[in-house]
Amino acid sequence: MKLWLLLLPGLGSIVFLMGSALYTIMIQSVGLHTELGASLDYWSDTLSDPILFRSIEYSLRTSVLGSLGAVILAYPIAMWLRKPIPGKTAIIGLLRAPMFVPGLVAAFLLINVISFHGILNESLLALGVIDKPLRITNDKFGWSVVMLQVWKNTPFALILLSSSINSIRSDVLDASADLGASAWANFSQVVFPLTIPALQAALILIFIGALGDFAFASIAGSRNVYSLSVLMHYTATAYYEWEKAAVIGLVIMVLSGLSAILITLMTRPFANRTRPVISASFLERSHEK
Amino acid sequence: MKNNNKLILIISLSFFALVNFIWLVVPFFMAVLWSLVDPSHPWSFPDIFPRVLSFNRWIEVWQTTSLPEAMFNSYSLAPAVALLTVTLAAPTAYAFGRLEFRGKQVAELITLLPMVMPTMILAIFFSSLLLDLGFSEPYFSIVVAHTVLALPYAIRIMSAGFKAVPQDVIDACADMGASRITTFRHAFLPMLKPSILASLIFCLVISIEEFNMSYVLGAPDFITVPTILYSFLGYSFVRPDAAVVSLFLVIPNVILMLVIERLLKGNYLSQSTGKA
Amino acid sequence: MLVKKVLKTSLLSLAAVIATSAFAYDVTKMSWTEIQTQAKKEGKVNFAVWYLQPGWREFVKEFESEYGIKVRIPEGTLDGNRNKLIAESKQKQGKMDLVAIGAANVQLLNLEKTLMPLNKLPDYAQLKTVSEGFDSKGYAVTFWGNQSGIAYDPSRIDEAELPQTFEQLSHYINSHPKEFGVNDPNGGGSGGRFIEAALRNFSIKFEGETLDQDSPQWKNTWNWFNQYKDEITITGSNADSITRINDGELVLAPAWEDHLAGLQKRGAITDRLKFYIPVFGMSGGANFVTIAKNAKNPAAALVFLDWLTSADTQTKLNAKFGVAPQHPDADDSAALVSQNMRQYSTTPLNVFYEKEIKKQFVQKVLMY
Repeated sequence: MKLWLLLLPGLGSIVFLMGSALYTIMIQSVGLHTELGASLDYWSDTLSDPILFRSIEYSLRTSVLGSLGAVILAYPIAMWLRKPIPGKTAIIGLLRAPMFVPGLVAAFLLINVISFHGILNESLLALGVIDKPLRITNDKFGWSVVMLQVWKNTPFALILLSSSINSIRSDVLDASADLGASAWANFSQVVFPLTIPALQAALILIFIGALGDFAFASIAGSRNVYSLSVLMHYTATAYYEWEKAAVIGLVIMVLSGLSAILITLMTRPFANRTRPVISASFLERSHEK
Repeated sequence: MKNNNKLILIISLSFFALVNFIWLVVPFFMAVLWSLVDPSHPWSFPDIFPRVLSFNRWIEVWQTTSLPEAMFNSYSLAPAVALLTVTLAAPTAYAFGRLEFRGKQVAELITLLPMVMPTMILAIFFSSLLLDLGFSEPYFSIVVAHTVLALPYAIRIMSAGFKAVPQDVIDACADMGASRITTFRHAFLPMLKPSILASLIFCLVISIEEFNMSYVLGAPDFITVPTILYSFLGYSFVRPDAAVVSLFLVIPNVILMLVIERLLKGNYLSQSTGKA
Repeated sequence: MLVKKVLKTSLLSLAAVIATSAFAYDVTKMSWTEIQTQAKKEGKVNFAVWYLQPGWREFVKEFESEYGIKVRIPEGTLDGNRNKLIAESKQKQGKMDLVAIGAANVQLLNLEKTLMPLNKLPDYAQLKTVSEGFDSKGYAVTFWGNQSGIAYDPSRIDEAELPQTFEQLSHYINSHPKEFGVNDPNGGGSGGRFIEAALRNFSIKFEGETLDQDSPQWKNTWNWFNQYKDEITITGSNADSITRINDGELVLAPAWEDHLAGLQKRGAITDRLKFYIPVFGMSGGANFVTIAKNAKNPAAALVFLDWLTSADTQTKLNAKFGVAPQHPDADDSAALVSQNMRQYSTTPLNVFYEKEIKKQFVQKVLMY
């Protein structure tokens, strides 16, 4: 009884809001609230619409590349930061700066740089690399959105991975280096497997955030395809088709859930692969200490 | 060997400087340049540089856009969200940090839901629920929505804080016959201060930054810092004005960042994910 | 369901506490002098207009100092404002006073239940209650002339070469790939108006013919777009198109006359850009302004509306924003377009087409 009272304010508020939103989505996606009554037409209509699949493809593409890009960039920086470097605090501060720049400002900064007569095109023209400015804003593939996701999320990935890498005892790394492991082997056999939990957390959080992205896609995204969130927003507020918007919402949620599971399953095997460079028993012993 | 290391260090540092130049300095420099374009001398192709620079646009934007209103809204929402969140999170965090009970893991997982659910979905269907209920007070709806978004972080950070209080300190207090309240004041509060502070700041940042909820629930006329930015970048896109607004908004965030770094010595995010 | 009911009552009682007391007076039964006194007492008024808000805030300063009534111009899109107006109409007192809407939007409103009749206005007889073929039945008057057309950079195209027919435009697009832009109709109205012009040209066979949702004639228009799609630049909004002309990326793009002029007067883009209505015709009309039936400051709203639609203010609107005045006694010498060119202005199609154009353009062209 007392436990309930303790859990109610925090857990209760979450369950209440998430639950009521979920309830509304479910009800609306089958049209239960309309006078016509329940029907699966909204599902079949929406799921047979090729636009939805283009949006799914686009959203998946940008979020896979965005989240992978962020962690791939974060690993070497995190390794580099292990070393003593003059002015480390300032460097860390600079690296974290993008986290405090609102995403929309980031989108604006990027568009400004890559616009038709923006500084990028002007510099390339001046250098003679191109003879006509490139039209790269709102590109069809979504590279701008990928860039923005990487820019904005690298600090987040860096913080998660750094704290995980820093918690690896340096004698483990020194020992493996003494045993003659190359820097790459050291990373792939020792560091990488030990940071899998942090990697999973970073990938899942960044990926799901990117999959539901509205702001980047609507400002810097392709003009030939909407991201899932943009599509859902227009479907609800411009076409007034709340039922179909609910279906799209559920599709996003299912995709998020599936990708979280997939990321976990795909990265798990790496966590146990420690054999070749230094013996597994050595690592286990040092890990237990 | 030593020289070699030094060389590597220099190379890596200059590489870092170069990358940061492209990554941060150039974009911000361009934004500053655009923001200084004089309103009576617009900057257009084929001019490589603006003809006249002045601060006039800053003054004009401050006086004629609803930027002050947006900042007032954002900076009055955020503290409300922060206080409410920490208040709601504390009991739950205590249960997670110091009690063992059946289904604890499940309960902990549920609290993470708002972190992984795309906020646009929540926003749209929460707003449709409010519409059905005939309730339209954007300030309250946004406070509620932001609170729920911030709760997972606050619960996480504070339950780690509760966990860190050593049992012997609590026992010692109890042995000396202290009442529950005194125990809380002397045993818990001092140890909890940093995590409460961390939660508060985290909630502030989340509320100030959050776009989707504010955009949908505040529509059409309750504007916050991110939603005004969205209108300046989207529907009423005017590049020099957008530059001024962007820079106006980055400044308080940078100050907030410096405060956070100072207070928490950099490990705040690792706390939130429970890895500290 | 019970939960919902409990929630509803508790939220409603909360809302009731927050909302101020209900009406103590009824403006529709007051004389104009009584309304003026009452307006002073209210002391403030909200005017929801979805474009050029910074310019509006400057413009209403004169009213504020003359009448001592504060005017608040909130942010908000057209759809957002209209949806809020509808949502609040169930309440006894809403938060909106004056709301500007596109002409076709009166079709979407339950006029009697949402809006206040405007026949109290002293100048009512001289104001227009019909715009673009939509009759507001006295619940809205026009205050802002608008005209869609094509904005261009005269330093990059000769006036004589401006495309006047769709054949010329096709030819231009072929020889100048990517230099003609159209904005996503979901992001702003001028793109939709251009698509509408194409629809008139390719799909609608005679004036007044109506197409239903599934009519095969739509296809002719979408075929044209698809044929040239790779050579047309799709932009995000009305403002995005104009910005890209200013940047030198585009040469021609559909735009609103008043929007272009407003941005130029604000110094956001160069004065060099010009605007024309092509011979194939693009639509124009006027926006309505309305007062919510449950307005919080009904008297101040009426006084503001009287000021806004007066000949004097309309002349100033023309000078500041370059729009066509709506009061017969106003002077319209400051517009971007000559009277001669205005003959190509057409009446817009109705709101059904507006929605259908957005949807089908996305389905059949943008994402095809």
